[in-house]
Amino acid sequence: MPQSRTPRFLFISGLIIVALVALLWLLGARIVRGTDGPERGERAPDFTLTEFETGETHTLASLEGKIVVLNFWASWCVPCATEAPELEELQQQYADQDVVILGVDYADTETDALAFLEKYEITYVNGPDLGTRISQAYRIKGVPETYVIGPDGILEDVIIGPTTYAQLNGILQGLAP
Amino acid sequence: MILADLGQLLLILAFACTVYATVVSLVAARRKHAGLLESSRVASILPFPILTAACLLLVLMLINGNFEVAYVTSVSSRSMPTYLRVTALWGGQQGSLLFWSWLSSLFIAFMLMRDWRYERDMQPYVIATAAVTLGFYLILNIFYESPFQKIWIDQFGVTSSSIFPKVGAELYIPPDGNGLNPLLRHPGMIIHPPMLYLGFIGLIVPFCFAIGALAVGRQDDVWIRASRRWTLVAWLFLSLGLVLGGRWAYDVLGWGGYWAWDPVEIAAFMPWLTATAFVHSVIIQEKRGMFKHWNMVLIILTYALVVLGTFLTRTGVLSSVHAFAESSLGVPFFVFLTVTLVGSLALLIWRWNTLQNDRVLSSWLSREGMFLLNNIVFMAILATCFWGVIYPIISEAFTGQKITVGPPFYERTTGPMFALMLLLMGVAPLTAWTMMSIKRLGQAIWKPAAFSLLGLAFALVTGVRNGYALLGIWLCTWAAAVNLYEFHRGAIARRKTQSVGYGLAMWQLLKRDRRRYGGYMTHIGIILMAIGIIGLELFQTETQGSVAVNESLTLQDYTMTYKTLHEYEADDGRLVTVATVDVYQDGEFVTTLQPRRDFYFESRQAMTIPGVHGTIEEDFYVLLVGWKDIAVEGATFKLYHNPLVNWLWFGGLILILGIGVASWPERREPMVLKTRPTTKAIPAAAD
Amino acid sequence: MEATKLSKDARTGLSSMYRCFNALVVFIGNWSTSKRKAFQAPLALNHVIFVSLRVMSWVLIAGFLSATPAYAQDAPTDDDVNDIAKQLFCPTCENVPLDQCGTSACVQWRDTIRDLLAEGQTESDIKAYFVAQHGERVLNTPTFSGQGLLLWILPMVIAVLAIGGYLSFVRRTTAVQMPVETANVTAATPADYISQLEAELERRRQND
Repeated sequence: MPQSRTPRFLFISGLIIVALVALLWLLGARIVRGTDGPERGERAPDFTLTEFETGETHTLASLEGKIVVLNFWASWCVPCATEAPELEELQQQYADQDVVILGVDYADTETDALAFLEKYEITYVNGPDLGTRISQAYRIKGVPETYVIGPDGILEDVIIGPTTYAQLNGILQGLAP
Repeated sequence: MILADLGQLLLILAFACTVYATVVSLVAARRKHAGLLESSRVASILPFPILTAACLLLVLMLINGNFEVAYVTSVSSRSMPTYLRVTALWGGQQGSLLFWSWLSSLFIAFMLMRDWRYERDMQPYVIATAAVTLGFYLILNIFYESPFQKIWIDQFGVTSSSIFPKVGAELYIPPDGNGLNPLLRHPGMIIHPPMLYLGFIGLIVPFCFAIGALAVGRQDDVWIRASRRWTLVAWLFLSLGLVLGGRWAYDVLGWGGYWAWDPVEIAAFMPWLTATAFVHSVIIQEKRGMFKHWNMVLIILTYALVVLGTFLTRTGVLSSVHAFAESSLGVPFFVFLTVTLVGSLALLIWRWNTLQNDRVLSSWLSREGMFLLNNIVFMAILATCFWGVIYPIISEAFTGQKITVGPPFYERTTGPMFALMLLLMGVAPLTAWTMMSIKRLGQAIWKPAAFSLLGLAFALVTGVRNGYALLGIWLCTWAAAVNLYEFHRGAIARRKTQSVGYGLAMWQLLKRDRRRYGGYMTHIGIILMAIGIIGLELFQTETQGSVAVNESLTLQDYTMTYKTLHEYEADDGRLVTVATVDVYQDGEFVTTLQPRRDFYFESRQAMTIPGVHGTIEEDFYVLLVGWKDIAVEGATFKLYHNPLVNWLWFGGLILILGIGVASWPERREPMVLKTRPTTKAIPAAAD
Repeated sequence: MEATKLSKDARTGLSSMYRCFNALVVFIGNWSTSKRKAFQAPLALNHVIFVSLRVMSWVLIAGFLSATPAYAQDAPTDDDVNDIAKQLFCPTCENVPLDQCGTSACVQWRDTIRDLLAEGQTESDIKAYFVAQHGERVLNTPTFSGQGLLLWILPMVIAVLAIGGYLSFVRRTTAVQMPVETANVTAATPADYISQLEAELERRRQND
């Protein structure tokens, strides 16, 4: 029978302790990080959005100096349909200013998404959430969710659930220098 | 309002008892003071009546519809019948935590009211361990997730829930509650969680005894003997909970299966694996005085897995249909898990050299050797399952990308190990203690091995050509033959010597040596379940199609003809859509089935209840997937053909009965050893 | 277009037929031109042959297309869709396979599978498409590569460790000493077995 303090015993128990510590560390890290996304005042995670049809890519880094309104939506999402015209109105209003609205289409199919964009006559940039990377970086809980990112790349506001023109307009006014 | 505050007060009172019990029991151990020890014993029994009152209070508020209490609002509604309001006690996070604490206090009270004559020295440590455990869950109940929080509304109309009102806020009584999750309204789901809870919590008892034994440095098996029945009872409930869960999924979840390898299912399965290894491995320590360290490791591991399982499911770390919503319990659970693991492992390492095995393994080919193999296979299955559950978390931590580990992983990796288990079940009962020659094993094994070829031949004749299935059926027949042969052998022997009838001889075997023959019975139950699993996993077929009235769908030798569809509103707040279909087998009318869809208005959730025609060979399982306008009168059905699935349920029943036989109390055995620490006095049993 | 509804087989059949016809037409055209001198056939005749063959091929293809209802029955069935959906998980429906999930997102995904099948894509094409669109997480189990490599390797390591640990334990302990007691616990003959069983049962009975 193994006795303690023999090299073998020490080696095996050492291994087990290392494995346990790693496991606990992992779970601990998971708790600390939680399942919440970035918070207001934090740097917004960078992402690459590939636009529908044109395939043009937009990264957050390349949009520095502009206010970015990042909207997660999907064609199967009912509140997204009420929200889309409001966002389009915002786009019309702020088209000539340094405000970029980016629509990220989450867990959707391209045909349905394009039909949706056509139906609501959306002109702002939209693209699929390829590999669900963007939604994972922002750890969204569902759609719609909207993130307002300042010119310096800092997350200014988070709206869980549908938003309105008035609400976003207010936030953007508040950000105006 | 007063009631809710009273409830909170009761929780605090119970918590105070556990704190007192912990401190005083340790002081008593130090001073060897019998009076203090008795006082701490009473203090750790007291939470049971107190928490019983708290539970009754919550049930009362659920029945009354005290919607100012946040928990009552979240799990009940006016349209719910009374029995569902009672069972809503464990229908949500806070209530089920209280229920869990109450069950813990029940087990602890029973444990401390038993006869402690032979284990008095470890009693203080058993009390302390039990009280710390219960205290932890009460902390969660009181400070994190209290079921007695009330709803408050402030001047802006914002509602929040807490025990004490925020400044300027008033009590708010919603007109109606949200109602219980429809999935939890089915009778199977009403009893499935309490069974699992009983199983999990029951494992506290052997754990407390193990810690007690380590703390005082006893190296005999008294902790095992004292907690043996508790372990078996816990194992019984755990098995029952798992089988019921499977049955419930099959009956109401509407996907033609019983086990989805969902992370939470695995979290419940892992303690079962270690507990099963433990109930086997302790036999070796009792009979041969071996594996003492290993048994300690096993029980600590089992208990840690129980805590880990509740941790994973109750904190939203894992996403699953079973998981509770995310909560703030992460940090306290993490601390408790760490303390439990570090504390008990440190204790074990400290006592490592105190534990001396009486014997060493003489040969791999012996009963002990087989039990060792059994334990290793169980541990390998455990490690694989654990890896599958934890891997998405690891992978996401390093790559930032989510990943799904689903059934194919578990099936491919654990499948061969379960097959090995069946083989062991077919060899181990024939092996002798200490050592055995291969020749003698051969003499014992050739009859069942030959018999098992019949099973193989039967499978081939009935047209089974799948290699895995043939192997599985062969192993099942083998193992069944061996375990049935043990009964037969015993009965024949008794008939010869006692000149009693065969049936009576069999009955006497079961009655006299309950553990042994109960054990063989559980083996037979597992084998029957394995046959059902092989049938369902390898031969399940399905088809889906849309048909108009009087049109048919065909699957295997069954034909289903769609007759009518009608809708009605049930008085418990659901819209029921029922299809009536005629089932024909080989062209002959068999039965009429009514698959249906229940839509719950309050929660906007739907449940798909299958129509099932079952026979001993197979189930024909019909789901109503969708329907068009009544005018068109077309509907979509999904049909499953599930071969042998009823063997799974029947095997489950035998398994539970077998554990029941094994754990049925015999009159208390006289304790052979009254002094520590030798075990030489134990007569070598002939098992 | 009718053609988009053709099953994959029909499409490949159609295109290969079309290619054969074209090859034939071109071959005959070339042959007749090369033999023009020999046959002294008028250019017009060549032209007529050429054109009529073309028309024939069109007619045949048109006939083929009009016969598509027969092939349209080959349109993907619910079972074809479910066979693939079963292996996928939609992010909106964690832990519920796509074939059982009832959310509208999942309904759309199943429709996409149907469309892709109708376009003639294979099962692996479709799975690859969903992985490209929505990431590895849509697969019910990671493949033996990249992010999933370690997942599959560790069970093998566990198996090796279990076997190795068992062998080394057995070798070490059984080498320590031969059993002091070769114990009468081994049931050598049926008579031994009976007496042992009786002894055990008797012990239990006395304990009752």
